[in-house]
Amino acid sequence: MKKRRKYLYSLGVAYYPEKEMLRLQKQAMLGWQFVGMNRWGFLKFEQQPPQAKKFAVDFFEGELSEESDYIALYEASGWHYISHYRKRYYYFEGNLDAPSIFSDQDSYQERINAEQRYLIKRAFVVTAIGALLLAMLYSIKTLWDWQNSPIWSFLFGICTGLLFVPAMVAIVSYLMRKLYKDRATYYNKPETIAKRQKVVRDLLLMALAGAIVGGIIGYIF
Amino acid sequence: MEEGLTDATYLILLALLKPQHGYAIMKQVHEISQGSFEIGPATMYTILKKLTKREWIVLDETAERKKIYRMTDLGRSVLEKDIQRRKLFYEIGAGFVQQIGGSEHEKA
Repeated sequence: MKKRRKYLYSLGVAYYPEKEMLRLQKQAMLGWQFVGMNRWGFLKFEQQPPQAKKFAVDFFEGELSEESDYIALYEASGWHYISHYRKRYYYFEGNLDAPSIFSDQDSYQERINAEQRYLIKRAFVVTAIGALLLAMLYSIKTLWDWQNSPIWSFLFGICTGLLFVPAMVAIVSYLMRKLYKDRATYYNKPETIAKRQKVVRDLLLMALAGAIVGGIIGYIF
Repeated sequence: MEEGLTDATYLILLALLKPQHGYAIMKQVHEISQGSFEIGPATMYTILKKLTKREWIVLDETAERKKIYRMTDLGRSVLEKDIQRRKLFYEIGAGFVQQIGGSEHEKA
């Protein structure tokens, strides 16, 4: 018999891991076992008898060859590997008495910083793709003048938008750092910070900041 | 003066007086500290990476392709220095408690 499944949208594993883990815990209590996050950001669950357990997610910066040793450390402390997202985010589950995966503030802060660097790096890759696409748009223009076509405006808009992704990531990261300044001090109490994480409020703030920055950029150019 | 090792790093280096697997280090830290200290897996991974970068430990691959951490000479000298530092701090503390702490107790 096929297991019943359901999907929930992820809050964003990079910015709200603590809150997301509490969600997974709640779903397990309701009889929905977390199995993984797909590439479009949907959390996948399978129906199972309700269980009381904890979840943890870690950002992994290492090489693929280190993966098995990395997972072995978790298994040795009572955390079982579930799945990974893009070989960067690794999900684990454990009993309610499993120790927190971070046992000091420094290492948690380092994890947050490493993740920041990764996000910025990825944003610049997006910029490079945007620049490449723009170059292609212009090279097509030499063969066929399509600048008055709506397709041109549409594609041009998207590609230009891609150029500004690093700026967006930088703004979001900056605001998140300000909003949750003491996040690293809760290295072993993720539930405490989870309760303070307000996704809708943050989204509104980001939208406002984006509008202001977008307005300034629009005004200058 | 150089900064001392954190307790976690100190215990990990002690565990590595004998070359070990990452997960064996976790268990040993628990034993060495008589169950009083537990290092989370994410923290353990971060510290092992950091110590490798500082060349205090190296990752060797055995014939069976198992990965074993080994302490370098540099790592060992850092550990020995920290044991001395901890010893000094212990002696200062114990001495003070005996001298001053004792008389406070008598007054009370």
